[in-house]
Amino acid sequence: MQASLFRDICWILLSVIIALILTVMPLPADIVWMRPEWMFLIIYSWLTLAPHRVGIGVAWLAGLWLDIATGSLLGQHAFVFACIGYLVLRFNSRAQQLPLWQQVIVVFVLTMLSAALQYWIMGFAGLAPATWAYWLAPVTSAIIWPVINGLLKRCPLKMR
Amino acid sequence: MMADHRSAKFHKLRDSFAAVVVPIEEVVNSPVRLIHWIGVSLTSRETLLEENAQLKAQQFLLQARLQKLLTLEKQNAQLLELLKSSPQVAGKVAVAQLLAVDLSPDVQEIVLDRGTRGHVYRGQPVLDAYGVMGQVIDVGPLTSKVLLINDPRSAIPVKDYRTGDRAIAIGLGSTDQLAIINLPPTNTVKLGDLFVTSGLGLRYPVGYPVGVVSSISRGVKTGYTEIQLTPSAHLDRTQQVLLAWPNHADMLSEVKKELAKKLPSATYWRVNNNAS
Repeated sequence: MQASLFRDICWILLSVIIALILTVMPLPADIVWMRPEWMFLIIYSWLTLAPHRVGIGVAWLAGLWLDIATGSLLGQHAFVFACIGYLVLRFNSRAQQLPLWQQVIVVFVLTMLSAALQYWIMGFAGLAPATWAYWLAPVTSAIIWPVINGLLKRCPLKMR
Repeated sequence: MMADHRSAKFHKLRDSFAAVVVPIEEVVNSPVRLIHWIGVSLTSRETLLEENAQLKAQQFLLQARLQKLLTLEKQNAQLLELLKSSPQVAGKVAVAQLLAVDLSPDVQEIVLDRGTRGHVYRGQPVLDAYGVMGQVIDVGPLTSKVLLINDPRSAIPVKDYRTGDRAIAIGLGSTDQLAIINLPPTNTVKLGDLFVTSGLGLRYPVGYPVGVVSSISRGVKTGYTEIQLTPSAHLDRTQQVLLAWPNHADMLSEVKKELAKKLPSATYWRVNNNAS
């Protein structure tokens, strides 16, 4: 394996592991619904920053790992990440050149879409959360996204 | 996804995947453990001596009560022998620690640090020092997941300790209360009644406290009574739980004896002595 590919894979793996850790970290019950969807944000950032390294397959695997870690229906996050990954790769090639506020709006729309798809899938299994607080997570995700994007842009990866 | 939701065989496969997230869970758990260790290491000597004396006094009192328990157990065994039934054998118990990880906020589950290597099985009852906590739903090689009794998917067969009325206690989700369903309308449940496990599902051992009645509201129009329990177990504060391996044959014979009893409100339960 070339040195640059190995290095890139290490960085991507590290970011995914950190996303998992942040996702399962215990939080007080009052703010636990406002936890941003770290894995979604990190995968979205990689898809727009380095699409030659992170594609739909990586997004699907990351979603699968997230499913196993959080105990949700196996494949729920994987499916949603793969769908949104496809949308991002197909329609979003110049996302990083947009002004920041427009990028945040795009992220907000995508996180809402992901939340809606997951709600739909959980609804089939009878596991849909019964509280309106479930829809807070996309809002906090969109707000925190510029931070994640800024951090990941500074990784010594071969960007597009 | 459909296989995960429907098929039990797929669950066995899924359980082996749980090993992949054990490192993540350990990483999240270790700061909590580290902070606890630092707290213990830096405690002053006076505090430790005081705590030591307190624990010794408590242990002395408990030992004294234990002597009485041994006598009672022996008497009980003798009486049971007189009645020509087999004496109870206490099953094995083990202590497990909780891992400080948060799964989805809308499910009430906890993760333990014991898995198939520790002989944990799916459906195993989990207790804490004060009552029933839940049952194991997923077992990985090193960790396992427990569904707590206040999760909406959980239902325990219970009976009123005072009157013997049988019912089912279901969880209500984010509130810490349990709801009682399937109680016969001629019940005489009062505030403060203790509900214990009745063993009828052959899952939980008989006689462990589940909760105390905290509110009874009789709907005037509907005629139905809504009873809520406060769980006896400290569901949100426990750090350690007990895993029990109840003896299945003993549970079966207990349940048969229970079903053979006549209850005051039993005139409309058809007691089926052939049930097994």
